[in-house]
Amino acid sequence: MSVLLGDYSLTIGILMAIWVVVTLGLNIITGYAGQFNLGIGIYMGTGAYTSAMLTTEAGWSFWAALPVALAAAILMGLMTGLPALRVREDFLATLTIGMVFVFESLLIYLPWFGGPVGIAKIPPPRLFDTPVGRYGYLFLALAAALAAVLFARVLSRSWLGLAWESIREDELATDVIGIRPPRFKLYAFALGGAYAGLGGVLYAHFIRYITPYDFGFVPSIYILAMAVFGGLGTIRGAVFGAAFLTALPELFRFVQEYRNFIYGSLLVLMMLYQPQGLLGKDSLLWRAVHGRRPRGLAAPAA
Amino acid sequence: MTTTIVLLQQILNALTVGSIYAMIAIGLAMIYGILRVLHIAHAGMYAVGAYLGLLLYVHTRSFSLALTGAMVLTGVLGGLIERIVYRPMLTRPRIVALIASIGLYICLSDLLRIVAGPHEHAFDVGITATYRLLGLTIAGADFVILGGTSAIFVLLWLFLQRTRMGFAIRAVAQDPEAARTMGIDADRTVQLVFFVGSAIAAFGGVMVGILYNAVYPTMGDTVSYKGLALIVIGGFGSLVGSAVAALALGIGETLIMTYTQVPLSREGIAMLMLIILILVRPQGLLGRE
Repeated sequence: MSVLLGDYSLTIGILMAIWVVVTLGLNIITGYAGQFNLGIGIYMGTGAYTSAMLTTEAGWSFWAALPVALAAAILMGLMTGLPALRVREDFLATLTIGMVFVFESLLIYLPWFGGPVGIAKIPPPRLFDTPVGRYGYLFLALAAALAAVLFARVLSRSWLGLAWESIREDELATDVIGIRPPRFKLYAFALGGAYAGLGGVLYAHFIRYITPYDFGFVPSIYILAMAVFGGLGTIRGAVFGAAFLTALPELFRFVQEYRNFIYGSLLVLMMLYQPQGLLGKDSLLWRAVHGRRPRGLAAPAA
Repeated sequence: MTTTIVLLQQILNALTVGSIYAMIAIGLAMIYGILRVLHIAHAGMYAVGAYLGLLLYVHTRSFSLALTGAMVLTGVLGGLIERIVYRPMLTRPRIVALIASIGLYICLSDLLRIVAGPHEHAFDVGITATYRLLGLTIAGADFVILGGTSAIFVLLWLFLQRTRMGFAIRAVAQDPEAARTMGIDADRTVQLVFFVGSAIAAFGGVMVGILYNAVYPTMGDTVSYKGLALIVIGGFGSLVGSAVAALALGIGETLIMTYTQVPLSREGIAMLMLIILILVRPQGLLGRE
């Protein structure tokens, strides 16, 4: 196996899986429930910091810290979701930008969180009393990504998913037929937060060194770019967007150098010519692929 | 006595900072008022303006020429952005234009880094004199900024209230359809707003470049998100509201930083004020219900 995959491609593979999980989280909040969120880094950071602090300072194991980190991310989702109930659209977008800046600023200025240098020496998870190696971590991350995809698929087809879709399309009408939007918006924030938190935990224990800047506004925009590039509101879009935009800077050196320029232009061009994303519903590419293959490449989210 | 002097000095500095915020916030508020688009890339225009000003100054050695040139060129760029990026998106859902403007912003500031390099450029136009007045230290640049901001305010007010073009802008902001039926070219009017707003942002950019004697690619970062905070605090689309909010934020931030131990950066404080205000008074400080 090690002949097949070098160390470097292993790293890319793991990062792709991690970003898929986080992007799926944003997809739940913004794609399914239609709630703008430009601060997905908050939940990712909550998960990452909780797990990192529990495993370094309190000496917990990865597996013991994981559920606590997820619970913390869910709690953060609910906490940020509550004020978000009062506002919508532009106000919500501005509110979430404000929140992610306050979050980042608190992590930097409170010495308790390690300040601007963050937390180092985060231990890797242990399985059967041995630390998980790179292959082990790849399987772990892939398993998490797969579970995330399957769960998102279940969610999107459940009555929860239908309620979200209804809120996204017409909030007032949803309220009128007796489905209370605030409740379902909170569910979306909590579940999206859990996804991003899981991604954050996986990120922290893989990179093993986290700083507040990893979870600020610009990283949140990278994740938005991934979701939008693939196609907001679809699982295939989130998976493809996250995997493609993670691999792109690694495969081409010049992309790494001009990353913001390319991501930024990509966002503008996508919005101009293909706002539903490359593989979104009714996008040119997806129609072309779908026409020839009736069953499609991935689960159509719906 | 000394504490009063320190306080006055702080407030003077805060007013300078607040004026700079106001330069960004006015343009943003005008654009939001007429197009209902959160033009996040506006802070990019401010950085572009500073770079253009520096470039022109290096070549012409004339400050007034550099300032006017930067304002006109940035204004034209703003008009082009409206035409190419935003106009085709207006019929689409709101999130489309919002995402595009975020993309445009990170694209613009990275473009500046690629073209001019990541380092700081000095912007020294020779306004280095400092004046002492009643124990206060006032830099020449402070005078230029405070005077320039007031002048721009008065001119803008006269333009909006007393000219036919200003009348058209107010009409389109109120109701684009009705304005069209009255024979106003709404598209041209919107483009004009982008021109004026971007030119004012360029003025702010050049002034900041002089004040800190530095021009660098990420100089728009701090003001971009604060600009958003300001137009929200001022009440979306309200010019006076956002200018008042800008000065209030400049003063509030400075005083909180000086006299309290809040574990937040300047940005953090501004954003916290924004969050609280959105929750308590979503229509903004001077906004109507």
